[in-house]
Amino acid sequence: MSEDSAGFDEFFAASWDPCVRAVAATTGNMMLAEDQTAEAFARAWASWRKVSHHPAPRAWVVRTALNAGASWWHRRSKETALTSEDIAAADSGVTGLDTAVLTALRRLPARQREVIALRVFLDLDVETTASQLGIAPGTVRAHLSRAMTALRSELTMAMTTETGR
Amino acid sequence: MNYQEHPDDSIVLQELHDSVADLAVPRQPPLAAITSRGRVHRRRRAGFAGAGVGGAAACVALVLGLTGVLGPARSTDTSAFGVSNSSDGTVSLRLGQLFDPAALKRALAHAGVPALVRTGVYCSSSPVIPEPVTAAVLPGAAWTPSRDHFSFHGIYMSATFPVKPSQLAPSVDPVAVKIKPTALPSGTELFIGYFNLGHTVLVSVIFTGDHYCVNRQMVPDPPGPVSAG
Repeated sequence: MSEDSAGFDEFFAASWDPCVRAVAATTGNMMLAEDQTAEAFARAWASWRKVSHHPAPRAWVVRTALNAGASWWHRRSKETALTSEDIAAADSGVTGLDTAVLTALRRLPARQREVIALRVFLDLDVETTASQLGIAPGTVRAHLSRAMTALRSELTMAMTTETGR
Repeated sequence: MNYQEHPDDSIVLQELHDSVADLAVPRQPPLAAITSRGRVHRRRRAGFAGAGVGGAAACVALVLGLTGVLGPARSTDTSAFGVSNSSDGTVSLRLGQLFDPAALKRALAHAGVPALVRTGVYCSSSPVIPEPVTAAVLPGAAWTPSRDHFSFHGIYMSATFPVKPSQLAPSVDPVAVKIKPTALPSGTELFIGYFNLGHTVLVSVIFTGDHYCVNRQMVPDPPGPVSAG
């Protein structure tokens, strides 16, 4: 391991699972999450000198993974006609994530999902979440408040529906 | 606006936490795959000067590749494999179960197809080639596309020789495939790998000189001569 990447392997080993979980829960697609988190880790390795001194390297990875969405979907669309079975598998969702939670998360606006990913799934504080997203701490709180309101509503409705069966 | 916690928020947050904690996470990709891809990013960052040199090298490689395509077409036909150029620009490849990787690589190169041919090793690029393997490889019925779980979801074509695992003997029924060399993106080559444990041959497209390989289990070679091609 060169000086430029010292410590990366430990970071990668310890951070893969939580980062993939955060991205998967945010995107609702494990295959997408795996692909983009791997890409984000590759970028982290390429910029390890900078990322290793980042206040929240896992947040850097998750944010980078979430930002890589457009290119992934572009590439995926090219493969659709050739590997329909794979696309079906990719759209099959996230194994192990409660359907109601997944549905509720998917209905949130992108920015609110990003806030949930960093603030809730990675347990970052408001200030770090704000600096990661390039927004004010107050805006993080506002997004979180709206997201929680929507999630409360969605999850309560889901539980009511399930109970009513 | 400050976030005012609702009485039910702790329940919702707990549910979110619990759901994510239960999430089944796919196996971590090999560190080599991450660093291989990371090197691509580092090279890109090296700047236009470096990119210019790289581009020149790529052009040279392309010219050399085209020389192979436009040069005299050659056919190679052995008991282990056959390679022949067709008038429509495609290259027909017939694979028997026991082929010599080096001989096959040479025959493909003569036919204008750059290739890495290995046995017992699976090679892949990360990220995957933008164009799917099926753009350059026109498979017959024996081939099926599969997802490459060793890289970031690339696609490879695979075919299994019609030999039962208990029959350690060369297949008498070769698998065939057509290759379209012009559909190989610049800077890429075919990967052809054979694994005798499942009597399977895999074909994918990888970046030349920018790929990683992982070992796959092999069983002892079956008795009998191996053609040198």
